[in-house]
Amino acid sequence: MTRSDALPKAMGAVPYAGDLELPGMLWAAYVTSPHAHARIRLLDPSPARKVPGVVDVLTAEDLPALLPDGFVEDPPLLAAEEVRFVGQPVAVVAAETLPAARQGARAVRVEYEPLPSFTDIESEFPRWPDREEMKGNPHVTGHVLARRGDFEAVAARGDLVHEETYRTGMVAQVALEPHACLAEVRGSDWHVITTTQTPFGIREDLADKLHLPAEHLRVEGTWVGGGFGGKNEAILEPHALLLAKKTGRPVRIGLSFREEFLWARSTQPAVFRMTSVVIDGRLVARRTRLLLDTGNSLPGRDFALGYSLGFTLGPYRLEAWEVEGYALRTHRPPFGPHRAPLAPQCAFAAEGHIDSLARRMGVDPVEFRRRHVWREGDLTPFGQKVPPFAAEAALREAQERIRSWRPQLPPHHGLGVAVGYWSTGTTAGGEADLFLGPGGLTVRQGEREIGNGTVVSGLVSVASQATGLPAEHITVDYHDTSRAPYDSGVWGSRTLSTLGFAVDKAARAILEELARRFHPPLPPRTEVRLAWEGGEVRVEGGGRSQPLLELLTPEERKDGGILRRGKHYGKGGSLDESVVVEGALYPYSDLTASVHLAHVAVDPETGAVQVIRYAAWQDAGKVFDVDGYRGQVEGGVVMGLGTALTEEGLLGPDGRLRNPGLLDYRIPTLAEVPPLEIVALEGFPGSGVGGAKGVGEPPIIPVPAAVANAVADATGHRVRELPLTPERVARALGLLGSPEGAASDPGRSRTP
Amino acid sequence: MHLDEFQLHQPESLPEAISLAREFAGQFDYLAGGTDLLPNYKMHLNPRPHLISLDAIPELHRFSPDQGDLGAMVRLREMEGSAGLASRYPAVAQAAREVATPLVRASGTLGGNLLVETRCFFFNQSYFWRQSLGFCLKADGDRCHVVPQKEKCYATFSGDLAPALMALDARVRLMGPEGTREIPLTDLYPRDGDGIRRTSLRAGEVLEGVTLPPPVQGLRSIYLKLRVRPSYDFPELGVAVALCQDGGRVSHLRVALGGLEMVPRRMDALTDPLVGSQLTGESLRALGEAIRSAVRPVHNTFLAPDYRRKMTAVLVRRAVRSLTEGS
Repeated sequence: MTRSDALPKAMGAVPYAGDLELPGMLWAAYVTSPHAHARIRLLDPSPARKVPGVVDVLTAEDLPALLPDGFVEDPPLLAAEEVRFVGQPVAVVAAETLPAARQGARAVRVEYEPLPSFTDIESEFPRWPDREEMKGNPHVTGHVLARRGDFEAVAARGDLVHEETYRTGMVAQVALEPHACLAEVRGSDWHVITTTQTPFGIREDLADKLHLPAEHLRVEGTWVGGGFGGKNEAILEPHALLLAKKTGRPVRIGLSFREEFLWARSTQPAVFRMTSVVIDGRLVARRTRLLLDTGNSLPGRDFALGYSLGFTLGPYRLEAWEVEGYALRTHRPPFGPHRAPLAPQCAFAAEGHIDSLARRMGVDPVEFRRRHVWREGDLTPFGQKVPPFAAEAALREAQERIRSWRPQLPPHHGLGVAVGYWSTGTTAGGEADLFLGPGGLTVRQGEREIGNGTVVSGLVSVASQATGLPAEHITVDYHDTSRAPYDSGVWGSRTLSTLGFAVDKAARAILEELARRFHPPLPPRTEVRLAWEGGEVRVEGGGRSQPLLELLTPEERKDGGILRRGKHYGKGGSLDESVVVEGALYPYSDLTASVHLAHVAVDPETGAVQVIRYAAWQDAGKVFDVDGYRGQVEGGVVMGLGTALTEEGLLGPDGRLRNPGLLDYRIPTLAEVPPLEIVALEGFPGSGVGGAKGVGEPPIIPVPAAVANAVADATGHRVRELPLTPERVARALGLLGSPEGAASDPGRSRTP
Repeated sequence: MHLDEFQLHQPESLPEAISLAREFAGQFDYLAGGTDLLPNYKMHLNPRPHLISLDAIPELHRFSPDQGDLGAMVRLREMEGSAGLASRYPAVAQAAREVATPLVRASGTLGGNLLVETRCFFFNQSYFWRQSLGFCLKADGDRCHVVPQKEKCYATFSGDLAPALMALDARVRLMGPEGTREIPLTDLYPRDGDGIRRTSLRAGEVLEGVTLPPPVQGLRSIYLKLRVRPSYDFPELGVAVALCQDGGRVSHLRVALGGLEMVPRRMDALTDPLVGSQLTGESLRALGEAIRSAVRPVHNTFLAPDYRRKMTAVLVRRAVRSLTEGS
């Protein structure tokens, strides 16, 4: 189906937050920390106020007066005494023009006293730290320990104990649209128009950060040029609103791409220590120890740690297991999700590890996985019953494909498989209104299209399939948080499966109501459908057809149609709490498998890796929109190829990112995309609408592991650090003896 | 990021351009395709108040690969698509194709690529970024962050065409307030230069064009590029080789390198001794190792210096081998 937003976007006719203006609007620019860690000795905004065009400057000093109850949280919205990462906002300058705002920002006088910074978790913790010692460590903001059985005892009688360490680096989302928002405050109406994946989530976040009742906040989403987890949090909005409040005028703030890279939100480095135990040829136990750099994220916001640890165990039956992880607060920018938060990194470790284990045992790695992978009805390590799950079926298909690809492989080519699994956010609820008039059906809801098509075409597909009305007669109508029914956001791969459920329920409510209104009555339980005929909506059922108009009540006719609200709040997963020793684990909801097969060629002299072709089997549940589904899998695979091969934020020892731009932070281009085969396995229904499972995040998860496993297959050498740059592969191949000439500032914390 | 204001001049002849250069001495840059200069201006990297565009000067656009005569304003896209260039000077056509993206090559020019600004982690950054660490020698500051000292800039030469053209003995024509001269391309890049003093251009001089000698019978050439992202990247290393063999013996051999040091260079001292000899696996390996020992990359690009040096040996061998195979 052709997306209704495709042509306007191609023509540049769709306005984004950075295009919007309001009468009397001011432009804003940030003053940010140049240091990874420093004390602010002096902060003097007065020189900025003298810059022509500058209207006002917001600093931490203003916060007590502007925040309704005067309380300033830690860390403050603007740094007051200490800065903790390069790019941390210190002041915001509002001016009549953008150049004046920027000039004003440069004029703000700030004196810093640099302090020692902590930006490399491995140099601080080269060995796995002692639990007791970590108790008083100020860097530790989260600790999770969970286990079932006695891992050490099983390991002691293991035939084989396989240990490896995997490392992953900083990756940024690189949404094509940088963050931007436009704020206006009139009385108690705090109104912000912003680019976000979750208007209601931003409202909650703002209520929390600005100490305002939610009903005083009105969040209006705009078209979003990609989110990938980077637009779930109120980052610029609090500053824009406070400046609008202070100046009495609308204020717009936007980030440059360089600012996006420097401080918006990124996934930070992680180190995975993996151990697996084999007895009688079977994988029986696994232990994972994870050090996770969460940047300047606060204690208690280490969701990524507790959520991801389970993924390091893989979707395999285990008799005993243990996971332990530390979230470490460093002088890097705050941690942010990057499409399936940390799952590709976990899968890189978990699936590289099982691959190398199988190879060490001389067993086919795919067959080895099939022997251990969860089937429906198994219990996950966290005690959840496995729902219909496509992993085993997908592995079987991958095996068949390998049988046809393997014989034709030239030298230095290899095949690699990896399994990813994900818990799509089907438990986060949502509501939608459907309004049906003679001219068509309208979906009224609160989410904006973030680019993946889930709103403009996913919800339309659901409504179309629920009612029978062709998609071209269905429109999506968006409202801000003061008018839209609640929804939790376009994240967690949940929108179509969950908000779609609300749409489906509303559609069914309308159809049931209309079925009751036929005169003479339809036989009981006759289902009706909608059709478009003669330029209007008709209702058909039991071999009869009536114009919609005739079935509407007088009041509905006056309103133009019939309205029903659908609500869907999924059941939360359950967790066997007895496994948790310390910290918080999160239950997983719909389990969604991805099994990928990569065919690579490795240059044996340079280490350059080329992906020749790629196949992805996705646990689809039910596909509503074939093109949209395929687009999500393609996007996930391509983004994963970037994580696998070229994308890496290089932080220098001074805490400054060396490559904060699109030229030197290398996302894949179309030219890097290999021929892709995508298979949607529909036989394993999820708990979303019509059995749907989410597809936004799952396809990125196994990509780095599949590529690394293929490189190991091609060369016999395993690269245990992402991304697999030619240099890392060359080192793994032993092409360079010991590192030489790594100059004073390599911009790299470690050499593999 | 926004450009500061500048005044654009669009002379229609070289004498006019040079007289503008005299008028705005020290206050201008020549503007060719703008694909390198303008992004740098946006980051406030040595912007100047006057830009003298060379685009309206007809003779700079001439393109006669059959005569080995290339105007400085020839677009890279024209070069990469030229059958004449590809058949006579394959390394040059290959190098043109390896530059950036099709979009950049549609604007980018031969002259612009030869004079492309050197690059460094500490230079190609926003004003905020550079200020935060303390400005560097190459823009607004007085010290180098790559090799901490205050004398020399270690920014890396990142053009693709220079090694290819050097390997083919190209000469460049320069026109300036003091007259016209023609020099070997190798002399455009001073051996004692650095990331700032990277060419021997005199004040106000325009790079007018490139002349290539007719290829001798049996001359073959190739350009190989090392980078992280296959589709587009500045070179982490560029290797150009031109080779002619006579009855199995080397009659002519040139190896030129870019993307490694502050200036591109040709390794004549290491290749000349091979003339007259037969290329063997052993002599080729020795050549690669000798070149590897002679180059001094620093760590101001993505890949580490030891890797880039090692790859110099690998790509030199690979380039020569591909020219000998099937010859």
